[in-house]
Amino acid sequence: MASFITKHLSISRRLFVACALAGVNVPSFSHHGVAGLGAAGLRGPGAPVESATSATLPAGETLAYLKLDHAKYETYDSDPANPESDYANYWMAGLGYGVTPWFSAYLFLPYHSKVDEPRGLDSRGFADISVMGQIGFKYDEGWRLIPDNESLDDLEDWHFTVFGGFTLPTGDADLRLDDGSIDPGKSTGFGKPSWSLGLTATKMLSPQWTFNQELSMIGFQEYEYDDGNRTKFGQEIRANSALVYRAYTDLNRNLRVDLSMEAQYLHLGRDRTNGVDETATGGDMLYALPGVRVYWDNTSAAFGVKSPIWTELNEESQQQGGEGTEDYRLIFTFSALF
Amino acid sequence: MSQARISLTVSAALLATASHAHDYWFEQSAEDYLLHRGHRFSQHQGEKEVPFDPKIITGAYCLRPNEVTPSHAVVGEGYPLRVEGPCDAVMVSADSGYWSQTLTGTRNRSKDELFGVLRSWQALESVKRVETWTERLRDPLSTDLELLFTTNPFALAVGDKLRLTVVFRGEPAQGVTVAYDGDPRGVTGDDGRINLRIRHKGLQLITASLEEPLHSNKADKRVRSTILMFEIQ
Repeated sequence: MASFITKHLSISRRLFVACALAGVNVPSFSHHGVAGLGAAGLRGPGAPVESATSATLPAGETLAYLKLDHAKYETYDSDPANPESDYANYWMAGLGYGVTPWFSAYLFLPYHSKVDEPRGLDSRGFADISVMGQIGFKYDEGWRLIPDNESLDDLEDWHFTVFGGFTLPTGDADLRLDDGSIDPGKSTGFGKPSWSLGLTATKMLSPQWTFNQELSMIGFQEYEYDDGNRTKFGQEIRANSALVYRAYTDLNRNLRVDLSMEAQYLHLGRDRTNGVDETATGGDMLYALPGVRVYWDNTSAAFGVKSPIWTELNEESQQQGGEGTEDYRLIFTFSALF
Repeated sequence: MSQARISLTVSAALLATASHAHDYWFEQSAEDYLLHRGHRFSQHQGEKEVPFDPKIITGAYCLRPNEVTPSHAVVGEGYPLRVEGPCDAVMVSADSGYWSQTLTGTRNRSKDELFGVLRSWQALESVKRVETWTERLRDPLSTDLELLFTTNPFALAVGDKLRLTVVFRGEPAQGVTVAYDGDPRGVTGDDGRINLRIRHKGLQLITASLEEPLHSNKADKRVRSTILMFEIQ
């Protein structure tokens, strides 16, 4: 029994005390996938499916992460002569490392495939690698960095992180489509580094309920493509709120099941091409993302269905295939801590 | 995990956290304390009273009012064991010997004396009750596994954090499981520290246990456990 308790707590510590699977937004192409690493733990704070959380990785431990964001778009034109965006798969593989209890470093490699209706122009390939850093801190009779060791009671404190990162132009910004054209929205690279900055706050409201908040933004630089055009993608601002409910816990099997509901607000700035505002870009939208997360031993898997419940796009009727015009998005993540 | 229900007139302790060990608890008798053993707070079933031989007691300490050095507390004979008070803090240590779990139950025998032993351990236990705060309580009363306050616990209210240090032989002890009312809440780090949140008024029961392998044919491991008890008004 004693060894069981110690083992359980040890696992818990690995998974949430320090564990973390904190979330990070990774800049990728608009119309893109957003990586979020969930948090784990048997009795600690829960983590939503996609939003960033305030958990940092245990010092000296490595996180492996995989995400698929499948976006299915609404189509407006039934004429086969005018193919529209059909769906996109945004894959994301990532590695994280706990440098200290309060600082985690991440590396992400995205792979995108964007598929049009028949006779459309598809694109696929590895996108820009991103590098992220995350600093965790908390309030416990004063502000302090996340310590090496926290009890379940410590985990009930407000926890915060600030995170930031940038992409490296490893993708193909000048990807030519089948007709020889370059569509920046379908390229697999930005051409120049982009940057991101964010803040998270997490609080266990009770042993079962966890509140999570993420505020983040992504900025882009102007890039001149091989065809001579210059594009700068509009800035992105996110405000994601989530409630997570710990629905089932089996300490003997190191198993936990959480239900979560996320409300994700996204503001997209208008893109600019050759110095001029681009039509059919940008706007505001709100997504609902109900989901479920399962923890088992040192792994965590999450699944959710994301759909826009409110949109105010700049030229909505012309923005088919972009954010806010999805029929639905299926989000799946898997992470493991070693 | 449900919290223990505790009578205000009874001081209770869950010694030897696990391992189907017995509970030890103090009952106050005038200025003295009576140490009982049985199954009052543990989560497994058993007889309410399990008398013990006073010979298992390895130490009894009393920090008397206005003194800074704990003195040896006089203990009586028989059961329940009488410990002479009054004390700002009283602590008793015991070596209840070897325990073996078999398919038919748990026996107070070493594994080499029984057949079909599933697991076995040596139980070294201690219990400390604190009546009032003094700065001296930041330091241990014994060299056994012990829970120490870092601040005055009697100034805390429900919801506040109780900040503790676990020491063994006077040094911070790492990897010690600490429980509140029997509910494990964390494991100490290399500084021996752990924080717990006060969940209710009345008697507070904090238990800690540390296991170490025992290279012996008498038991598989040695389990050191300790209880800290005090009341929040």
